[in-house]
This record gives sequence, structure tokens and C-alpha cells, in this order.
Amino acid sequence: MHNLHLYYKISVSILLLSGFVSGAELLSVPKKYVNFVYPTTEVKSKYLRWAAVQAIQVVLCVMAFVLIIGYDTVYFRIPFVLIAAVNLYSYQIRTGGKDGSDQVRLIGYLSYSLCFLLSSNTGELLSIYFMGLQVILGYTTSGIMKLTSPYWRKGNVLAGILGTYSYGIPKVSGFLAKHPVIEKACSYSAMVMMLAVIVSFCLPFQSLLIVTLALMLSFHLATSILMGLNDFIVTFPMAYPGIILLHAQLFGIPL
Amino acid sequence: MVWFVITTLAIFFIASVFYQVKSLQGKFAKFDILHLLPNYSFFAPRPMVNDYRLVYKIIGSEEWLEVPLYKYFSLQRIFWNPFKYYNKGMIDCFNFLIAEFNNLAEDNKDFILISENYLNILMLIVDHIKDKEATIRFAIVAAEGVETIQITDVIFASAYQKL
Repeated sequence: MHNLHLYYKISVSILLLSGFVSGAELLSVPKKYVNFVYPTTEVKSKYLRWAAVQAIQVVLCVMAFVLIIGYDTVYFRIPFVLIAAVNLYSYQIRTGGKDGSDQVRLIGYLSYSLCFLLSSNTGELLSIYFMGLQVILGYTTSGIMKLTSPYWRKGNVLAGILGTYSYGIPKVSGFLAKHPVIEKACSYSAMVMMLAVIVSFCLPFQSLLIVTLALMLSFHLATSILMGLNDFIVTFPMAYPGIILLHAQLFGIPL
Repeated sequence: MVWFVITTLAIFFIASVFYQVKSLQGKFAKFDILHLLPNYSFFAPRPMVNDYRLVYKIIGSEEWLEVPLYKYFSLQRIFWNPFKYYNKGMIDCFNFLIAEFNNLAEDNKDFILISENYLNILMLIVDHIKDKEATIRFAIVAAEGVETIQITDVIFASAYQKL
């Protein structure tokens, strides 16, 4: 599998980009709202500590990115392991304001770091396989949960979600409310796309899997535009190289 | 070493699979000290279809005033959206506060005054209000709609207190 290292580099780069964006965004949370992402009764140096943790993560992400993309050296592992530690610490102190992509990013950092204990090839292979499986589990669970939910099955939740200030765009919500057929089609397409990932993964057609993953990428793009969940589009695709490689290995498809 | 890594990842993956079953989450959470097990339900089974709004009233006044929490949509949020973090943080804070309040016994409801979540909300109001020594009460309400806002529920209402 001579493309393994390339796939691995793509995956690590996406993970680093995700860490950079997340760290920079958390760093720029206005001071008066920090209490909601870092809820602690500690008063002294609280904001400073918060800002320092996020700034360190941003700097380490840049360092690791330069080392793996610019120099293609294994020394990127040093800042990478430090990012994993900082990310874990940040995740523990943030009792509020965490979302699904924070979870996936942290699991990515920790599992990739764990695989540094192995020889390059084995470690690279195991880490991207593991994250591939995690994201397949994520899409499948999300699809099943929506499909079994009476609210989602009715097909009228999107106008409601997009009608909020928290996760929406008023104009799109209004449009969907006036066109229930389109709203229902959009609701069901989200469920079908998520479940299509596991289905296409179980079938021996690589092009079908790639089309499905491309559709999921467009879904993440849509949720970042419509709902403001821009971190999903720079987090979940880190697992796509692993999904493609694992699928190829299972069905003996040459890469 | 290979087997150690494979076993660790395999155990974590199997635990992740079982953790998606709601009835098993409590059992697995006991062992998940670092809260690493992921919950992939994402807006299901029941998505949030209303906003929480924070309102307050100064003693002697009849009018409830709103602490502005929300931002209008801009395309910039595709690339840059720190709002999502503190918006989710506020939603979590409101939910934690309500859960704490409901868990308090009837004659101990005043203990909510020392809740971290209660204090964080109060600090946000202090930051917003001009008279830093006013006596106020606040409420968290659920509201629907954007252009015409309709309050659907009062989720929490505090007693009057001096800032």
C-alpha cells in the first residue's frame, strides 16, 4: 500500500487544520462569555489561563503542520503529542459549549498519538483505520437516531432548527416552512446520506463510496453555511482517507 | 506493543459502539473518567427548535428587558464562527441550571443562588446592565421565531436580588 503515507499526511493535515481553527475560535471568544465555555468559580488569572491554553494549541498546530507538510519529518510527532495533551486538558476544563466535532477531534489526537508507539507503517495504518471506523459509527448512529425519531420522520424539524437564532437562517427557515415537500425531502436526504456511508462501505464499489463521502462533505458544507457548524467540515473529513483505505483493503481494491 | 495499541483501540471502539445505546450510557460513563466516549446522536432524537432568551426586570419596573445574546447570520461564519462555542455554552449553562434547580429539595431551593451556572448568568447581566447596584430578577424563556418572537415557555425565574 504505497499511498499509505500520503493518505496519512492528508488525514493528519486536516486534523491539524481543525485544531487550528478550533483553537483560534476559542481564543477569540469575547471575555464576558468565557464563563460559559470555561465555567469555573476561579477568578484570578482565569482569562489569561484560558487564552494561553488556546494560543498554545494554535501555535503547536502550525508547528506540526509545517513539520509534516513542509519537511515530511517524524518530528511533527513532538508538537502533535503536545497538542493532544493540551486538547485533552482544554476538553476537561470546558464543561460547557462542546460539540460533536470537539469529541471527534480529541479522539483523533489521542488515537494518532497512541499509534506513534508503533513503527511508522503500522502506526499510520492503524490510526487512520481507527478514525475511519469512528466516523462511520458516527454517521451510522446519527442516521439511525434520526430515522427512529418521530420528530425527524415527520420531516418538519428543519424549519424549526433553522428558525432559531442559535442554529439558523430565518429566510431559509421561512422558505422551508412554506414548502413542506422540500423540507421533508431535505430532512430525509440528511438521514439517507448518513446511512449511505455504511451501506456503500459494505459494498465492493469504491466509486460509490467516494460519491457518498463527497455527498457527506457537501452536507457538512451545508450545515456550516446554514447552521454555523463550520468545525464539522474541517474535522470529519480527516477520517475519509482511512475509510477509503480500509474499504480498499477489505475488498482487495488496488490503490 | 502492537497488541497493546490494537487492544486499546479495539476496546475503545467497542465501548463507543455500546455507548450509542442510550440505556447503556450510564453504565459505560462510570468507567469513562476522561469523558472520551462519543455521543453521535447530533440533533436527534428531538432537535432544539427554540431559542433560550435571557430577560431581567429591575425592582419597581413592570418591564422585562432582554440581554442580547444572538448575532445575525453572516456568510463569514462558514470560515469563522466563535459564536457557536459560547452560544452552545450558554445553552448548556441554562440546561445545567434548570437541572440543578429541579434536583434541589423544595425547602432548599435557595441554594441555587450559589450555583456556578446561576452566578455566571448573573455576571452576564451585570456586564450588560448600567446600574451595577440594582435589585433585579431574571428569567430564562424559550422562544420561537425570528422576526416575530413568541415566548413558548418560562423555564426558570429567579427571585429578586441585589447585584
